[in-house]
Amino acid sequence: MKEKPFVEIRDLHKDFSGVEVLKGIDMSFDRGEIHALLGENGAGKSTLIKILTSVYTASKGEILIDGVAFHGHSPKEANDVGLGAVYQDAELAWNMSVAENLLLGEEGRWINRRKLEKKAAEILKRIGLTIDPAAKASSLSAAQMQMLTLATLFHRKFKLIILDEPTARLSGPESELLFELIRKFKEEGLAIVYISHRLAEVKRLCDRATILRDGKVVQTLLRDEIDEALVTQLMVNRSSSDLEISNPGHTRPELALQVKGLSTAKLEPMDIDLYQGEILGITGPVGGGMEQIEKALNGLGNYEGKIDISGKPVTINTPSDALEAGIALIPEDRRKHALFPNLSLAENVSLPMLDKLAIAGYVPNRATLAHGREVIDALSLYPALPDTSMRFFSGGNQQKAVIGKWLKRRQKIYIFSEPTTGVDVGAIRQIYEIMLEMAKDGASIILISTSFKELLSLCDRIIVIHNGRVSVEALRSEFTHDSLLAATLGADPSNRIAV
Amino acid sequence: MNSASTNTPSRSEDAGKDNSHPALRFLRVWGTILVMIVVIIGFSFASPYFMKVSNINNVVFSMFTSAMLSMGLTYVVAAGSFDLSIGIIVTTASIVCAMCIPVTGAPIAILVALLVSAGIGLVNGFLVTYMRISGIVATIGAMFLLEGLNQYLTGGYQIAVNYDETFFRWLGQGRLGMIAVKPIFLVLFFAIGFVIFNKLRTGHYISAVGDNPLAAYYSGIPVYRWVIVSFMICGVFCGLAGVFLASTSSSAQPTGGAGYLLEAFAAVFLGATILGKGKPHILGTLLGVFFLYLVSNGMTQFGIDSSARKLFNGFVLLAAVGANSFLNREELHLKFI
Repeated sequence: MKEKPFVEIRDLHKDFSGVEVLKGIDMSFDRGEIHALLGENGAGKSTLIKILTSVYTASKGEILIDGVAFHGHSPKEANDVGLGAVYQDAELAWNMSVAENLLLGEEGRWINRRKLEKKAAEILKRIGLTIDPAAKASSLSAAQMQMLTLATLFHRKFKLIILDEPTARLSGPESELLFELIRKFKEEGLAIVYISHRLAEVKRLCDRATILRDGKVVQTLLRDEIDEALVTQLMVNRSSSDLEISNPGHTRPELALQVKGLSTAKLEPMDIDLYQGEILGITGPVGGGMEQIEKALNGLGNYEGKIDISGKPVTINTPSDALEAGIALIPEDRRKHALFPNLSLAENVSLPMLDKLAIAGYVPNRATLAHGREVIDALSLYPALPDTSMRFFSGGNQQKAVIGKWLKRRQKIYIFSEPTTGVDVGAIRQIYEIMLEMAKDGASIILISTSFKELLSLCDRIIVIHNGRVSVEALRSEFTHDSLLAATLGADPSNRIAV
Repeated sequence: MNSASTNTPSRSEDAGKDNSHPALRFLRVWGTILVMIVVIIGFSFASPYFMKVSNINNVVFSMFTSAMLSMGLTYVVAAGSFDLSIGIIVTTASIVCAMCIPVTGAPIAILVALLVSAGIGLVNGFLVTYMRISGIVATIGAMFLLEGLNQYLTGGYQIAVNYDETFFRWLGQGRLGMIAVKPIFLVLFFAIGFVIFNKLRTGHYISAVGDNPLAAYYSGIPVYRWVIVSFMICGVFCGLAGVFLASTSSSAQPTGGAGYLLEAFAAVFLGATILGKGKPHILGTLLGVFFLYLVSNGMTQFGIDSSARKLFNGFVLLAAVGANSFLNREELHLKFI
């Protein structure tokens, strides 16, 4: 490199209570460069971004900006030196107009809405966006919101912008618009860090791509070197077999769930057959449509199609319909969607059981504690303190508690969404064993995951959903790690394997 | 960049979200005002006296305290918090003012009362920001503290203002021709409040903070400062109400302003539905108070019992806010505060 890099990362380490997630990252970002960051789930991408934006602080190593060391302790400090990220839930003031959002913080003493709108229109025009500056932020589409956020960062003179799966919620033409904008930023000399699982996008857009694996940089490729087979090979870690576990197959002949023509706004009609004792994996790029299945089957969104459970047709409009029908969800964001952080472990796991634990409506404390202890024993939850608030437990043990909620309820179908994100390494194997045990008992499991290792070790069958369509459906034995990755990255769907 | 290619996809987007029926959109913006106009027309047909200047003057005169509290509260609610101490701040300000007049003279007494009120707002703001206490809890605490203080200061008796204080008494009791001085001041305070809220950075930032504090924080806006400022503005409005209350009755009552609290909340939330803003704004608040007092005045003229008036107020508030949130339907409603 003739020019000095804008941001340089040197020997960056990060560990979370002893588990090393980043093991010495060295990389750099230049001005006017679009730099892709690739890697499997858990390779350390998100940790790296969070350190770059000062959400976390590194355990060791340093970040140099124009050759000067930067030690930020809050996102605000990172923003002040020009480092910013666009997350999926763009931060906008919903009741304010596009112009007011774009120019928030620099209006001058008197507010003149017409003048603000004029100024915003100029900025938007310069960037090449056609959003009405007078429109309320809450009336924008997902794509427009994202672009408004980008425009805001650009206008505030951010020098490095991190985009995390920016096309996950966008349609084809919307993505094109975003790419135009990103290229424009590149011309203006900004450094862009682009994180995506969609290799086609990366190849079109990025100048360089750095591949992370197990918290280390494997290699940095130039645009011309980016090649599906090579990237796949670099992303996959063949050495680590520490979590090797396999599903011996508990599938029974009885059908547990039959879905015909399930479709949503983002998912083309598809069928699902799920047998008792079977573990069915569903994977694909984030935002590609796999999330829709979890939403539809739990009454969290509108869908069309026919759902039969054990041969009986059911209608699922709300989560309680889903429970009634025998479906339990173990959601990805357990802190937000599954647990009550200030209630005790026993109270959390007893919640779905209260009707069984109650004596004429009265729930004795003893009963919930006893139930809590049962769950603790069954799932080897640690520490074994049923009376302790949920928020004091580690990620892995919280996940076990979420599973524990349904343990005695004996649902027919369990939907696990990314069951091991944020789970400490030691607990992952235990969670897998619990899932296999459930399958052995005859429960059916849908595992929605982006971790291939997880899918390959647990599933009997795997469905890949890409761009809202089933691109591949096959028995586990027909997949290798590479073919699964290739399917997810968007390899030709014409080689659909019939089952 | 090729602007043609960037144009097409986003234009199809621009049709955007609000594709509801035009009649619904019209109702969302004008519904509350429409109901108000119908009610006012009804009353003015039924009573020729109702729309006379002298009657409107009466209505505006009697709504002064309530309007001032409501306008102050608008800032705090816009910033995303609550202030339950507003009624007590009125009492405290009137007591402080009445006690200071014999010592310092009226102008300085008024200034002291306003400073005390702003100071209470400052403390409230400090409690909800740096001390991390919720607005409801912090201002209930302030309410009890001030109640105790007021009782201690007055010993439970009213504090009279000397009859010689002509300037001070003119504020609350004087007239300029047909119109009383107090309504003129109300218009003035409304104008100031309106400019601060809509035309100055202050109101803009307060609204931004209330709308999405995280976005405001990331935009480099000192969030805590503007929350505190909103409480202080609210304090000053309540202080002014207290001063005029003392002036009108030539005395400070130990529990003078307590009754206005709930009325102010009703007015702010009724006002938020006016013009379909869905968030508090000063003009809406003022119209809300005006409507509640106008109806109450009209009903009094027809000898309608005060219990019916209360029923009507409750009904109007629930109907307006209910219809508005129904028209602005969220997908999933899970906020119960």
